[in-house]
Amino acid sequence: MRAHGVAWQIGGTAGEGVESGGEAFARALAASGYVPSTQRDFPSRIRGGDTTFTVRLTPKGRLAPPRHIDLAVAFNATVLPRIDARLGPDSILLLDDDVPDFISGAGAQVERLPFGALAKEAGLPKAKNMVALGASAALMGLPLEVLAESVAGRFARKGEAIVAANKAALRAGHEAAQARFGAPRFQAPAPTQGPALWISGNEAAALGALTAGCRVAAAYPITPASDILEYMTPRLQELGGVALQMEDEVAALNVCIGAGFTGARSLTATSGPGLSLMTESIGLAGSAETPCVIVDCQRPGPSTGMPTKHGQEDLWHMIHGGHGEFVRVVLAPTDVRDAFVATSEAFRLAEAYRCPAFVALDQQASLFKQTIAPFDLQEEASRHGERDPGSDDDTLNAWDGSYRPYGGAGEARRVALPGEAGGVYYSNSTEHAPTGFTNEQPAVRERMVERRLARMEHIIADCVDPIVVEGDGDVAILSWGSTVDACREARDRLVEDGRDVRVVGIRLLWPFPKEALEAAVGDRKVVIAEANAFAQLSRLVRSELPWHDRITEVLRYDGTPLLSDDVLEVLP
Amino acid sequence: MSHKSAWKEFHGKDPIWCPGCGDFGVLRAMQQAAAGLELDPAQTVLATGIGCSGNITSSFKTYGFHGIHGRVLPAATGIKLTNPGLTVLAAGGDGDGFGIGLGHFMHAARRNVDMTYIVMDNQVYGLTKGQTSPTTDAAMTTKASPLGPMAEPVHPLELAMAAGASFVAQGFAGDQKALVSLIERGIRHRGFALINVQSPCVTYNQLNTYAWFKEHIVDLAAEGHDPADRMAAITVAHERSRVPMGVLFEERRATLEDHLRWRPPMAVPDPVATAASPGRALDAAAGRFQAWQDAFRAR
Repeated sequence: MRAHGVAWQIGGTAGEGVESGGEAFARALAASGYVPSTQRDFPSRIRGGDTTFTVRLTPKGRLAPPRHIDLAVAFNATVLPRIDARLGPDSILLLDDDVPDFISGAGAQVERLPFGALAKEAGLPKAKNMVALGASAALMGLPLEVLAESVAGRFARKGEAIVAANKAALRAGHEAAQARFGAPRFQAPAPTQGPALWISGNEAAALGALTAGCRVAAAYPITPASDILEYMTPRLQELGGVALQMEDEVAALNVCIGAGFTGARSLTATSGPGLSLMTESIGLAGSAETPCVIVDCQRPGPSTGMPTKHGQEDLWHMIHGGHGEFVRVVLAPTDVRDAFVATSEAFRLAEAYRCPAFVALDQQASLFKQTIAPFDLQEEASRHGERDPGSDDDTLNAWDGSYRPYGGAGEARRVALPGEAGGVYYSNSTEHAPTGFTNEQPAVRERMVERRLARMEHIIADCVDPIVVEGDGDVAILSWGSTVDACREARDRLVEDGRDVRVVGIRLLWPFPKEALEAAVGDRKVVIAEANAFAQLSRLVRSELPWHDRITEVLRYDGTPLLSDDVLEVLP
Repeated sequence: MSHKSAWKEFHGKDPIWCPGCGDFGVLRAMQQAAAGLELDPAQTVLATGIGCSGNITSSFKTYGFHGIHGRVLPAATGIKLTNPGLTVLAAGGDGDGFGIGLGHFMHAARRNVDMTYIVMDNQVYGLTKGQTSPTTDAAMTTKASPLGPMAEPVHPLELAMAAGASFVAQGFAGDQKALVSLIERGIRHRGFALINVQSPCVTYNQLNTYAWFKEHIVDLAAEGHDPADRMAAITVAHERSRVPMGVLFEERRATLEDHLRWRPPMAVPDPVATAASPGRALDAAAGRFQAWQDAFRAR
C-alpha cells in the first residue's frame, strides 16, 4: 500500500529550537489551510537530551504517527539513529554542516545545508531552525509567505529586528534548498479550507470542562497532565472559580469530592501514579455518590514507568480499580476534538448519576496537537440544561426519614446541597440506607447494590455516542482512545484503494455498551487495536461478548502510539 | 435566643460509643456551641473521618460528609471553597488526623481555609480495638505493640504552630463549659482553627484517663498566657510534662478564600450557581470563552 501524506521531522538537542521550530512549522501550515498533526518525542528531564518533533500532513489530519519520515532535519549526531529508524530509501535527511558524516542505514539521501552559517548570515545564530523550515518548505512545495507571516506573528513581541532576522533566515533556507534541489520533492495533500483550531487534547479537555460549568479544579503536578491545571487556573480565577495545586493526588481528589458534594462541578487531572494514589477516594465518590471528574492522561507504567512516552495501560484500573463494587463512568475521547466533547459529557453523566467519571486520555491525545473545527461553546454549555432548584421546605431532613438522599431506583436525580433548607442529610462513605444512615442489614444492602446496578444501565442508555462507527466492510476494527484515529487512518488508506472496513471507537468503556457494540459489529471479523501488552480492551470485550474465535489483536507497547500500518498489517 | 436545651436542635441519632467515652462530651460541646452561635443547620457542614470519632456525623444534625480515613481536611477544603458562606466543621480522631492524615493536616493549617478542625484525641485506635496511635505515650503497650509505640508521640499543638495554623487550642472532654467556649471561639475565628480535644478512651487507654488528665491539665488563661504571643505559644506547645488547656495562639491572616478572591470583579461568582445553569453562566462570560477559544485559532 502506498504511503499516506507527507511526514517531516526535526531533531536535535533540547534547546536547539527543535520544538519551537516544529511548532512554528505546524502552526503556519494550519494557518494556511492544511490539517497538520504532530508528535513529540522527548526525554523526562528539564534541559538537554535528544528530542524530535514530527509534523504530518495527511488528507484528514489524523493523530497517529507516520511509519516513514519523508523529510528530516538533524542538528546533531546523537539524534541521528532515532531519526534514521523512521527513514526510507525515498527519504531525504538534511544535516547541518557541523554534524559528522552519516550514512543512512535506511538508505535515505543524506544532504548538507549550512543551517548554522546561514542563520549567522541572517543576523541571528539561534535561527537555524528557521533556516531548516525554509529549506523544508522548498522541498515540500509549501508557500514561503505563509510561513513568514506566521513566524512574524510569533516573534512580533520581540521587536522588528528579530522578526526581520527570522524572516531572512527562512528565506535563506528556502533559497539554498531551491538552488540545491530545484523543484519540490514531496507532494503535500491539498489544503482543506475552513476555520480551524490548533490545539492539544489537554487544552481541549480543559476548555470542555470550563464550558461544561466546571469551577473547581484541584491537582498535583504530573506528566503529562500538569498543563490541564495550568491552563485552567488563570481562567478559573477570572470566572470566580477555584483552582488548587494540592499536596498530593489524594488531597486533590478529596477537594473535588467535597466540592461535588457542595454542588460545584469539579475536576482533577492526573496520570498513572496519581491515579493509583486516588484509588480509595474514587471508591469514596462511588459510595457517597458524589459527582467528580478525573482526567487520566495515561502513560506507560507500572510505577514511574515512562513519564514522557505513550501507552494505554490504565483501562482496567479506571473501570475496576478500587475495592468493592460501585458505579463509575469511563469515557475515552477518540481524538483531540473529542477531548472537549467527552469531558463535557463526563460532567453531565457524573452529575446526573452521582458518581466519579473518568476521561481517559493518553500521551498522544493529551499533548499532540491536531487541526480541528472550532467548538460551539454555547451549544455545549446548554447541553447541560438547568439544575432543578433545591427545596426550601425546612421540615425535610434525613433524620426523620422525610428526605432520602440515596432514594430512587438508579435514575438520574438531584440531591440536596449544603446551604439548602430542604434536605439536610449527611453523605456517607459507609454502606447506608436510602436516608444515608449507616445500615448493614442484608435486605437494605441488597437493595442498595441493585440500585447501583440499575444506575449503570441508565448511564449506558443516556450516554451520547457510547460508540462511534464509520465505514463498512466485513471486518470491524475496535479501539479506544487516540488509537481510534490510527484505525480511522487505516480506513482512509483502504478507501483510497477502493476498499472499506468498519471502524468502531468505544468511547464509553464503562459501564460497557455491550448492545450498541454488538449491533455495530454484527458477525464481522474483529480486530482490536490498543497501546498495551495485556490486550485490556480485547479482554474486556471477550468478557462481555462471545467473540473469542474471531478476534485478532494489534498491540503496541514500546512507548509509542500505534500506526495505521500496524492495523493494516493484520487485516485479513 | 439561645436557651438551655437549644443544643437539641443539633442532636440527631444517639451515638454508639462506649458509656463514658470522651466523645460524648465533645459532641455535646459542639451542639452547645452551634446553638450558642445560633448556627443554621442547613448552612453548616460537619465533615468527618473514619474511626469512633467519625461516628459523630449521624449525631450532629446539620449537613455532613462522612468521608474516608484521614482525608477529612481536603474534603472540607472543597466544601468551604465551593460555598464560602457555609460554616464548616471538620472532626476526626488522632489516628485520622495525625497518622494517616498528617500530611493533609500540615497543609490545611498553612493554607488557612476558614474551618474549625476538632480532633478527638484519645491516644489510641479504638474502633480497631486498641492499637497504638500517633499520640500514644511511649510508656503504653498494646497487643500489636508489646514494646510500646517505639517512637516519640506526635505533638499536634507544636505541629500546628510549625505549620502556621492561625488558631491553636486544646480542650478536655471532661470540662464541658471550657470546651463549648473554645469551640465557639474556633468557629468565630476566621481561618483554620485546630481544637485538639483530650477525649479519653475508657476501654483501651488505661493510662490517659479522666483522672490522669485532671492531674496534668493547666489552664493557660489562669496562667496569664497571651494567645497573641507566638513564641509563648510555641513554648507552651513544646511542653511535655503538662497538658495545656485553652487557646495557645490566635492571629488574623489571609485565608485561602481571601487569596482566591482578590481578583475583582468576577463574572460568575459562585461555583454552585454555575453548575445549576452553565448555559447562563456562559452567557455572562461569553466574551471570555470566545477569546479563550480564539487563542487557539490557526485560521
